[in-house]
Amino acid sequence: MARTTTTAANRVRAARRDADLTQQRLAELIGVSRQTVVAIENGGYAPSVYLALALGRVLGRSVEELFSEEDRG
Amino acid sequence: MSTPDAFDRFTTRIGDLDHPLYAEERQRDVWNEASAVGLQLLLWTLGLAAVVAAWAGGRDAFPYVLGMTLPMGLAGLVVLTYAARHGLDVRTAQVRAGRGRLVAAAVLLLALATGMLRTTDLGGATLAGLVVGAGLVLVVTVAARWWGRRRRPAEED
Repeated sequence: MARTTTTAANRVRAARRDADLTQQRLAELIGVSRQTVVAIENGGYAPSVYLALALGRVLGRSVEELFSEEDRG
Repeated sequence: MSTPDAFDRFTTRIGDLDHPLYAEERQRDVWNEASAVGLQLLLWTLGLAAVVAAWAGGRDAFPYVLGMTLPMGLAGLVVLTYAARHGLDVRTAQVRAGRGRLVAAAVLLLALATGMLRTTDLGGATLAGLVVGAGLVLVVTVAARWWGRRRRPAEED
């Protein structure tokens, strides 16, 4: 099962807060449900490369800034 | 992408694969995992029920045993065919079922077969035919696996 650690989760959450976005708004911008954003932020879901790229684009960060190989559970 | 054929249309309809749920990746992942749990539960429950019916009901229960085992076989065949058509080789170590699961399935199958044979009035010739038939199936299966392994193309760089 795809999982991330809280390290990546905290980076995504921090980047979202820096961008002044709610979870709902971020979900709309990247085309997923709010529960998916919650799951990524809680470390319960590792997104696909396409979703990670969309997250990076919307949050103004590179994918490497949001996720790293060490985050793999 | 190739044009969907009858099997693709059938599985899309049966699986409701056009449902918007599948458009979102986490929902799709979670639903696929939930469906896998449900399918396994259904298969094992039906298998156990078929064994109980075969042993408790005897010959009278055969139609019910068939009614339970045929859908199991059909579901398994569709799952394997769907996976193979989408490039998932179930013969690889990463995909193959665990040893414990295979042993449990073999025990279930054996219990079902003995339960069904127990109450039938089979003559010696029929029983011998069954044994020879089972042996032939085994030989053909092993030969097919060996042939498939030989024909598998070398991995590309």
